[in-house]
Amino acid sequence: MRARVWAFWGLLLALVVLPLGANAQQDSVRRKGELGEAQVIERRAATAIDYKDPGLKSVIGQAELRKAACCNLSESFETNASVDASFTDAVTGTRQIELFGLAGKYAQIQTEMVPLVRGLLANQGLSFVPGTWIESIQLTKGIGSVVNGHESTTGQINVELLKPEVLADGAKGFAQEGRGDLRLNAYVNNAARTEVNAVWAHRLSPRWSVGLLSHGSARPLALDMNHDGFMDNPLGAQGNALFRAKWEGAGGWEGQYSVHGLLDSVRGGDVGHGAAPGTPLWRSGIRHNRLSVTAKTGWVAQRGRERSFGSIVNLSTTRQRARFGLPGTGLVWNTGQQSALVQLLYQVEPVEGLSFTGGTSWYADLFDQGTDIPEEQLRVSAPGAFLEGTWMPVESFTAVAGIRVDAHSLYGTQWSPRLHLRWSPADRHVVRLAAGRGWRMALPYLEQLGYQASNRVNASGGQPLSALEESAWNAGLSYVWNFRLNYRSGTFALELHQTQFDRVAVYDLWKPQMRLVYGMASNELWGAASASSSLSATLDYSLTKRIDVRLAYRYQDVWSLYVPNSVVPEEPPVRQAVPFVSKHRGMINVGYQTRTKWHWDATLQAFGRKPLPVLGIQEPGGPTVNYSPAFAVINGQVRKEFRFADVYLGVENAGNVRQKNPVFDAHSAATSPYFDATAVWGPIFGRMFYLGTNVAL
Amino acid sequence: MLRLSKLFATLLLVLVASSSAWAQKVEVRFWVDGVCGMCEERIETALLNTKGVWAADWNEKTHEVVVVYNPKKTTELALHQSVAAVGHDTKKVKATDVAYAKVHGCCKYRSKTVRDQH
Repeated sequence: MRARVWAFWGLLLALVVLPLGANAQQDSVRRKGELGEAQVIERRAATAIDYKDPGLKSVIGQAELRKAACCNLSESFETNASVDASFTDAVTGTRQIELFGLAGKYAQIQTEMVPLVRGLLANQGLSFVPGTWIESIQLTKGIGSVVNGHESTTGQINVELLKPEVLADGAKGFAQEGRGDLRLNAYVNNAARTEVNAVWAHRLSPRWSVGLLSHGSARPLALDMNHDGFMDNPLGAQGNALFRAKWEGAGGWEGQYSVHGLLDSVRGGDVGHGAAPGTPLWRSGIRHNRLSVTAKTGWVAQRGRERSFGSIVNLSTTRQRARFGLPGTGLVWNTGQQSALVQLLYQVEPVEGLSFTGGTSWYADLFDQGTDIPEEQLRVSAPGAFLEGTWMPVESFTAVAGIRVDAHSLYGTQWSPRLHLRWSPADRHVVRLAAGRGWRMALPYLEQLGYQASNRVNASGGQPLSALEESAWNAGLSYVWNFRLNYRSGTFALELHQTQFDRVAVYDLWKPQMRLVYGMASNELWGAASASSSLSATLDYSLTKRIDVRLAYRYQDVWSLYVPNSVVPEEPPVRQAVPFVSKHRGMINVGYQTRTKWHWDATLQAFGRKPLPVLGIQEPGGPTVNYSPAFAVINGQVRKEFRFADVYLGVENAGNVRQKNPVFDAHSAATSPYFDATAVWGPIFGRMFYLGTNVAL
Repeated sequence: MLRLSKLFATLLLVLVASSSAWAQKVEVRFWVDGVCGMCEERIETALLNTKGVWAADWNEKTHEVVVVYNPKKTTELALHQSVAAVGHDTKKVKATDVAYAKVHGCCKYRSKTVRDQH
């Protein structure tokens, strides 16, 4: 069985490496497009909506990323008005993102077009991309392109990492000074969270360049600032390295080959103050080991009509060990995932203004529970094909129509039709419309590991590899106006997004002392199994040459169907708000740069009240739904840029706003049926200071 | 928390009210020699770092720069001098050889070979 898996992998690898040998000619032609592109990003605003793209795509560049306090992808959206990041629970320190009030898993999150947050990485995958490795983030809101997969229902987040060929050539160095073969970063905060990153790049020959991205971090201190007996932040350590080689061949060929290795561990729970030695303590722990190999080969026609070909092969093996509860009696899950992804795509522009992208993809996953027993494994195979046509009859109008079909081994044939329209009625004004279907296989228990952090009765009795089908339609309408006022430019965006699930995996915390996970299908009464409607308005304006302001407001209404409270099975499901999602969100961000390159930045994020699940004993006659208070969090940072370095000092949660009791019934975690660390709605720790530096040599 | 939000909003208002956004502005256009996007960056940064300048935009094709400034704080000649100080010639002020020597190799607009490359 194992041998067959490896043989299959070897074959795949050979498939991708072969074209390399065939193209070893000598020629020092350098591609221009890529370098040009990199420079363009640098001069743009920190976050800019792509004016020409048919989708609602914004590029989050280096300037914006440096405003984020720390340290990895899950924390890179602090100044972004569209993406919310919040903790899933009070013990594991897992931060997940939300788009339109829906979990990040409904967006496709990938690094350089290879899916990242998927399978065993769906829970914590975002924290495995260190912030200093990131070159830029492309955030597309609304249904994604069929080319990148079927999972991009609410959006697509693609992370571009620092590229060895660009770094080595110094085209895009630190602080725009054109340097950066070696970049170092160090960060420490007052809770002793420490991070070190090193990025190195080197050009071996006109054809080959290599790069190494590395990261080490530790959270060594068990702090309990709110005196509930539980750690505010888990203890943790991470070692993370990505080596890659870039090959720029003759005749438009190029390839990128990378190896990524990861070790991560987080441990949270009872700090054990004053406990007699030997007392069993409620603890949680999650470990990840991962090795992933990616080969990308591409070709762009050098003359004649526009044609290109690309292949992506990604092979990975991941092991996750999770435990929750008291030693001996708690839950212990050991799960593994072996994955292969092969994608081939071809693009051609037969006539001016009309282009087609077509291709095939194949996802294969083998999940196990630490054994070779086939009954305890989950095998999934999903070959698929896609075709997308882009029609641009005039500069001001673009239509993209795509269709994708996947043959999933559990959920049969799945179609994903998608349409994107872009129309610019006048210069600087753009209207976009997008609609389509997305679907995915959910592993609800593994995707939300933190859901286990309570003494609620696991009444649905699921196993870590229980899978559920999720599918949804998403539609979005947006208007973007790039205005000029008082000689300064600004952007105003108005967006309307609607997502309707036909099938959804429901996490039900509405039943006292129970936690349930089940699949829900749309019914005739409500028309959907779950839905999200959101309306947002964003204003970006550079008030003076040194002051940039961003104001944003979003209204979102997210509901889901739940099984009724009563035990009568015939009763129809009830519609209720999804807990922890506030209806109103606001943000103010102000940035100020001095001539001497001091950067001051402050962000206020406001959250409306959030519905909370039932905690403790539900009082008869009491309110059916309790709400958290509305609250606001302020972050600030000051950064001084030097020629080859910068130093930054910041504060997170300056107002010291805290959820007083993130762990319900914390003091009797071992015995109380009400113990619950999953009801987190706000910051767990108070004001936090940090200091960091970047050096480019 | 409401207090904090109010404080934040007030600070923002003060910032807007006191900013030079309301000051008097004059628009001027003149020719500045240069060749590439890197030159554009250098020219615009030099102008923006000049006291009293509100906005600056250099066009790579036409070599013309549009500058918006407060005439109470600076003069048109000072703008020419700022550009020349970072190595770019204008019709009124020619950059010194010392200043020109500092511009990056690909920006040596006085050389015919460099000009032809762009």
